[in-house]
Amino acid sequence: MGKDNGPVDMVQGTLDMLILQALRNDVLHGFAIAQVINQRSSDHIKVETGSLYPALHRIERRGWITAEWGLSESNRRAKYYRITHEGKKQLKVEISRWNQMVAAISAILNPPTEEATFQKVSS
Amino acid sequence: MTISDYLSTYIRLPDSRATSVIKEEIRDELEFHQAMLEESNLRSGLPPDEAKRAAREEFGVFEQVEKKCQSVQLGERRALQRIQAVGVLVFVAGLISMAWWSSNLNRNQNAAVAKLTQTIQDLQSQIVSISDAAAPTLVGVFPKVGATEVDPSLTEIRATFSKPMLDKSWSWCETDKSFPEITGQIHYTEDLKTCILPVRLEPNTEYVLTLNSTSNQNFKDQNGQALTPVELVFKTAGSPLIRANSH
Repeated sequence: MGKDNGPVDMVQGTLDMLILQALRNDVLHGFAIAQVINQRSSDHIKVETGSLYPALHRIERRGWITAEWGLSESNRRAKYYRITHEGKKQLKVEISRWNQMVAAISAILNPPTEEATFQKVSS
Repeated sequence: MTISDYLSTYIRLPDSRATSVIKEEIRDELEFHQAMLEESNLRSGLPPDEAKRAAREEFGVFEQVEKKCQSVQLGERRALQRIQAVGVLVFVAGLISMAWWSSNLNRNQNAAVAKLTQTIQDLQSQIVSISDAAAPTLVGVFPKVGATEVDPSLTEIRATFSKPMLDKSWSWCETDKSFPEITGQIHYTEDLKTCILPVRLEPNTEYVLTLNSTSNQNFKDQNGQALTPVELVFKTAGSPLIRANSH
């Protein structure tokens, strides 16, 4: 799984976290959010529009982000999203959960060697 | 998580904007995304037609994305509308059952009233039949029984009964005493309750006659029940007091 094999599928449940992270310090429209995620993942993660916009609308309904209409850099009418205080709190929760998950999966994928285990027991 | 957090997370009121406005905003937002993809493709050097085609391909099926967004934005509203529809249905069903119950009650009440009316009519007919069953009685007579100083010029003797009598049927009976001279056609009044005996009276005379007797019982009602014989005694002017008895 890597750049040569094309973009990876989004791990279920992580899109909300990525959107909140993209909006952590910026006010962005949907297209820009998708670009930010894509660029920061070095093109490994590509957010499909069929997932991005329902997720944006869902977390907006939850109050984690707010939206307002404005003009884009190309002078088009665009809907801009801004993270809320609740969204920032939720982002911390999501990141913490994610880190726990990564640590747990890493532990499974990289078990300690028998020698290391023996040494640990001997000491 | 506080109660208000919980409520705000799981119990969200529907967007107060009109459905058409929400749908339009979703469409505008998705169209903007598609346009930005197209611009990006143009900047990459693709010819306009190819840039547009590639943008559409990259975007995916527009209607599907649009429908998903509508589902998120309008889902609660639709759920609420369904609840409202169910509520209205329940309300209408309640009204219908109340109307049915009420009409049933009215029907039952009408049936009860009809039954009572029938009962009353039955009772009335029984009373009438009891009344009919009773034998007629003499309720009035003129001259009065035992009267003295009756004007001899009186031309009618009248007997009034408790009920209509059989027309053209009577028994004015003689005794061994004086019986007045009959001067005309004996007849009943229109209601058949009074029988009139046209007479000529003599002064200073005591008259004794009976209405019905043991052998003559033609004073009878329309069911054939005879009057119990009654003696009528009176005296015309100048005569001594007479005695009156009824049997």
